[in-house]
Amino acid sequence: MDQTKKPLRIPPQFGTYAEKHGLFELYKRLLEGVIIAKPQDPLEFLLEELKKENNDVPAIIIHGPPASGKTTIARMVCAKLRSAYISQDTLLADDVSSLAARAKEHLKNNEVIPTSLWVELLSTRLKLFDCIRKGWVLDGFPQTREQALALQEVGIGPKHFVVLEAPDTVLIERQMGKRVDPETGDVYHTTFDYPAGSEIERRLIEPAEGCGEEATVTRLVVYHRHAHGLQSCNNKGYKAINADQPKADVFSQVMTNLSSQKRSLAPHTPRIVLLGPTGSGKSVQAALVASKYNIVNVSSGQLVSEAITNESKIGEAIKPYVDRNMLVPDNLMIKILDERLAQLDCVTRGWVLRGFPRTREQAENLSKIGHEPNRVFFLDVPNDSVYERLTLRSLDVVTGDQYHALYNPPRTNRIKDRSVQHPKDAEEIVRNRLSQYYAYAEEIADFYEDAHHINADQDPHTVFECVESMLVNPLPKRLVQQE
Amino acid sequence: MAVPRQEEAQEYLEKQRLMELFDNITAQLVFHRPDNPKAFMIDYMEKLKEARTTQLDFPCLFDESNIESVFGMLDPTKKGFITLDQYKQAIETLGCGSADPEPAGADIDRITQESFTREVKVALKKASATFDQA
Repeated sequence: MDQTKKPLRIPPQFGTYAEKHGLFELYKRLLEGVIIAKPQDPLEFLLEELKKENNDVPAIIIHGPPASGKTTIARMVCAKLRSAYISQDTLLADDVSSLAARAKEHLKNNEVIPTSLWVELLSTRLKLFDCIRKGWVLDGFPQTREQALALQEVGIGPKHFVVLEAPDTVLIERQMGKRVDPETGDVYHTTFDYPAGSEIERRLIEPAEGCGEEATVTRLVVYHRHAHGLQSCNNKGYKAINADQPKADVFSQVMTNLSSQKRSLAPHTPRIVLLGPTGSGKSVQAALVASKYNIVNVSSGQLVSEAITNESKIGEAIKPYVDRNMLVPDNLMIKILDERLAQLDCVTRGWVLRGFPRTREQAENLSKIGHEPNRVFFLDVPNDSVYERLTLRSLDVVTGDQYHALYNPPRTNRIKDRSVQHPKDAEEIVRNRLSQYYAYAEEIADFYEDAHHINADQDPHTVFECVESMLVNPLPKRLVQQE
Repeated sequence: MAVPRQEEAQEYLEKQRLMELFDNITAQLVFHRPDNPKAFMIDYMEKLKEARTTQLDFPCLFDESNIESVFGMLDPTKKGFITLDQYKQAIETLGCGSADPEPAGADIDRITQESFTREVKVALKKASATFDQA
């Protein structure tokens, strides 16, 4: 679907439709599955895949040095996402499977379990119902680059690879206080994370690998030997998180990372709405975005003036309102916008709209006629800054140059004497416009739930960077669906 | 640079005509825009699977009346035949590139409605039968 090659072949609404239903991701997932499995009958396979009802389930690996809190965090993530928790221990604990028995045989003989056996164990586990339906979280595996590559070869790849990092000294100290509940497998700590009930307290034992400094150091050495190799083969979803923080902080950071999505190759036409009080820099940001990403800059005020000068039918209808300084009625405004946004350049390249919607109703109408924005930004500026930005401006009546008493003062006294304030910049009028905006700002914010709020009381390019960062990455998805 | 496994995957996709299958599904989705695309896709594939066993009723956007009206558009004066150029344009628009480039009547530049319909039908069937025919 290259839009530059085939304009107009696809109806514009389809882009919105595909985006809404995540068609691209669905196709990608199906094709990925087919290519990995290479079934004899792909139709049958695709049908089965489609009927599984697993939309984009999590596939997460949580890794880190010993005592970094992998198990604790992985269990918390699982509880939150209701995914399957898998670690080496749970894989081996399976009594029924012959694979686990073979692996235990190796352990008994004090041998290392071969990679191929691990992979087999894991891939049988991942085929079980709970993994397919709710996704999986893998705790502390793969441990080496060899294992990671072997997993990739059979088509097991995580979407997120979270590594918990902490200085070695912290880890050694932490390992000394580590205690395990042998019944549930939960991990506790004697000082930082003590169990709530006294019953659990009594069953706590020291972990099997030992708490001593020497044992931990040996394990750390082994970990550091493999860490780099692991990172290099999981470059894509790799994220390191500082684990030397309270549990809740680490967990919230991990969750933020898990809710972020990888940039996809899906065709994406930005449909942006910039909202903010007067003087927040909407036009500046719109112009910057439009020129960098080659999208169409649509201003509602300008559209109105255009309609009037063109003496079009709508223009005639609007004129009396504008002449009397009244707000243009919603239905006319929507008509003008629809006309503009439905044009080919807006449809293929995307648009950035400012000055509209001003009320929740307008926002609803805009979505109703099929121009639903996929990014909404609020440029938040305190009122004081707005006054500072606007009321101190002056205009040289001879040259038409704009000056600002603080940021760009007139160069000579002569210019200073002849420059005057634009009537629009009078404090009274600015106050009026601000109150108009704030009267409806909350309503609109309610309507656009996914909107981003940006602190616009900064340098224009800093604000632009904020806008950009949220524009180019896919929106974070909601991990826990309300049911 | 194509690594062997990449080639393998490509080969597999071509052999099973998967890209064409997805193209067809996309076409259907663009046309119908169903509320639940997943259910729609399942439905489509079920139909295709059935058609594979019966070799009849392949799911396709065009039916016989569409073919007729395309011919009618190309032949507004009802002469009963179209030129080879028009024929070529028509099969491209209908998305059946596999149709015979030299149908009956090509030598005299006159293609009758009957042969046009026959050719397009065969080609459409081929285009929508997106599975390994071996």
